[in-house]
Amino acid sequence: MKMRQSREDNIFSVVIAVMTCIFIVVILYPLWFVLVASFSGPVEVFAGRVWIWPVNFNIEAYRRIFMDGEVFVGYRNTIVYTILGTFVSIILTLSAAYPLSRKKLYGRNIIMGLFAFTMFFGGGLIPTYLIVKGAGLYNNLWVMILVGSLSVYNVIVARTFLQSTIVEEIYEASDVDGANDIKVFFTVVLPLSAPILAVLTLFYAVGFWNNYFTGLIYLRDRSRYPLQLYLREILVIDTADNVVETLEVDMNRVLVKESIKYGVIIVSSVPMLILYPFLQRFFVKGVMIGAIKG
Amino acid sequence: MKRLFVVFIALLLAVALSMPVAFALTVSKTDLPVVDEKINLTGMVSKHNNTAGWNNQPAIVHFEELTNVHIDWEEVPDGNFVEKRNLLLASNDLPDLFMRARLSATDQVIYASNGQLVALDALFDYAPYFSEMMANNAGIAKCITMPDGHIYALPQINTTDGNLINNYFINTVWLDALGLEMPTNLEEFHDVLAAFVTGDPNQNGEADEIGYAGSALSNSYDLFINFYGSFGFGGNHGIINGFFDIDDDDKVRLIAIQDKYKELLIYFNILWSENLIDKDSFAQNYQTVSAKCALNQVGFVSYGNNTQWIGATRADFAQPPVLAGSNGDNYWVNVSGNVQTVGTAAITSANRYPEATMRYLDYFYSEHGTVTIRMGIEGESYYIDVDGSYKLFDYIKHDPNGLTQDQAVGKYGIMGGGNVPQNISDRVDQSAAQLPETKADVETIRATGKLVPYEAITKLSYTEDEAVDLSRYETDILSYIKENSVKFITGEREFSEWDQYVQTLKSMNLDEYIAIYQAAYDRWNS
Repeated sequence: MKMRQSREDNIFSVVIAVMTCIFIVVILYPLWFVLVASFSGPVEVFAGRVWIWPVNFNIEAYRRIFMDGEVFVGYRNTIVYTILGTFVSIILTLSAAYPLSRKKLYGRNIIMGLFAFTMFFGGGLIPTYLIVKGAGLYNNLWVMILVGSLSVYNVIVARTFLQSTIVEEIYEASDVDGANDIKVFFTVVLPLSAPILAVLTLFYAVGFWNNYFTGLIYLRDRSRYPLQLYLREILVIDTADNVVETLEVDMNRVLVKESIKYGVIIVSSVPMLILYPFLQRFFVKGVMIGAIKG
Repeated sequence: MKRLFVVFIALLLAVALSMPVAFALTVSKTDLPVVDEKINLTGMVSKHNNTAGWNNQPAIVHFEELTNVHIDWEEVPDGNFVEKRNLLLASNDLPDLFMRARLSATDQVIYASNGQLVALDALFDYAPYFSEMMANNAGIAKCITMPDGHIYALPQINTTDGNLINNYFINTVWLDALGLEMPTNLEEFHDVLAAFVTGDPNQNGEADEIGYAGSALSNSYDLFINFYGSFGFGGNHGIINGFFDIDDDDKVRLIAIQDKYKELLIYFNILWSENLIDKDSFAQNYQTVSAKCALNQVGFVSYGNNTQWIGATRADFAQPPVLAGSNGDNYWVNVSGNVQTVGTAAITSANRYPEATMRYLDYFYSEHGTVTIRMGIEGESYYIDVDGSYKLFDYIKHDPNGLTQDQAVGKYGIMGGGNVPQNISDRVDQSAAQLPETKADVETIRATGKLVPYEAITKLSYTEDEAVDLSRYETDILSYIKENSVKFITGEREFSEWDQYVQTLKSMNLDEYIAIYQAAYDRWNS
């Protein structure tokens, strides 16, 4: 009996291992291909000759991406937007989530309902644009930080986390010790919230890092563009319609766009890929805890 | 108290009366500068990457010196422009003018009916160059007038053959390698492709040759649009929207249900089944084709109006004679008219100086204006040769810092990406259209086929209601045609089902759909 079970277990383990390997390959290969293609000759990429290793190794794509130095301006801007934005967002999120997690907050279901309402209904782009413009945020660096800085989804995750990890008794004990709500928040709640802080940081940081739409709509000066807008611009050079009205067409430059495309993906996602492992150990824990209760 | 009130009213009146005086501005109809005192406008422009910028750009500064019109440009990169333009229009947060505006005819109709675009035809007194051009070329007004009879945006005019005629190209090196004659009709063309695929013309010992490498990624007709003329289509007014043309009785005809179209599909089905067409033709873009050309694998392509895009092996390719059809049809129909692009610039209702703005834009159409747009500043980026022709300096053509010619010119001019109000003639053009091989290709077409005249090429515009109906019918009908054309060519659908295919199409509101085109065509033709 014992033997049979163990054999089933073995088979189960092998199947799991094989499936995991397949999943890893399925997930990693595209990333690997992007990396390899960014270092390959464009003609080879187009002709489908690139598989595992770079063919006709060259760094032309990266040379073109970094050529005019504007990418570094973009990097700097995006880093500023990401750090400031994440900071502001976390403050806003926690200052909404903490009160909403406390049972003694008067009318908290109504407030929560109002929050949730905005998840399903929004004013749309044009009213938002007019509000931003009216508030003097157009072409202002704060527009990148304030527009969309609070995600209701994240508020719910954080609130649920606080409700489920910090039991009412802790608040009662703090009450007895004479701590007010503010003090409880800073001395009791925050130290216990490391996992959810990590989760929020990652969610928001990735969001700010990848955000190009806000910049596209609300920014005017190129010097304030985030990285993603510069990269987008690099990608639209030498597209088909531009070939029509031109003095000369250097097809090599047009083709190199294919490598640039992959280079751009590497350039823009590497920082986030580096950040992820450091936060990852908190990650699953934080989201799961936040997800248990509704 | 009462007196104070009177004084107050009087002051108000005085202010009110002086206001129009401040606005009144003498705009010269013929002379430069356009206005005596400098006026300031705001413009929103789609910035192409090759153009260094629009504020402080030498060409723009030069225009300002000539006209006394200063424009603050809000530059939006090409890729983001349409989205942002639509947003400004939707929120009525208007600049004084849009430049490189990419306003389609339908855009113009919609925004004009909102009252956001100014009717330009009322301002043509202030457009000497443009008016003269229209007087000399009746086709222009026909193509840019909207259904309500007004003109809301300025076009890019082009009269150079090499920019307007689309080509197909055959690999002449392969022809020579196999000792083949240039094909002159569809039958010979089939035989040449067959020889290409089997005869190892690239002499590498491998059967890696592709006959015809097509690039019909989004529109299946891109595969055969250059062949329409060999089957008798498009000879009168070219091709409309890929599947329509005008028959001899001035009636709009849906090509895709004609017997001759079936013949065309059968012809391509034969090429396909004999492996003479690249099997990737419906799945690749022209860059992929270019890459295959670079590997010397391609015998025939059907894209572009010169060979530049082919890249490394472009010298191998030339336009063959117009391939005659089975009953001798040899129209060359894939041609754009002299109105190369509509909607390149528009004046908005926010503009307080529409007359002056019109004159400013009009100057772009003068020879000096277009030269400035395309070549920059005399003595800095171009010079006038002894024979009177315009020449770019050598350091612009071959930039010492490794810039392309487009980028080097882009530090002076504003032509990057086209879509600028201008009048491109052979005199002011420095593009690949002026290369001897491009001109030779055009001559081949003229000598061996019937080129549809430029002024016969239609540009249709629709009322708002028509545009709505059109897009409603179009989705179903065009995708059904495209899909099934591919299926017939690739053999996925048998030709025995042709009648069934025609019946299905006819049951899809086809008459209403064609009636819209007919109405638009009749307007264009009147």
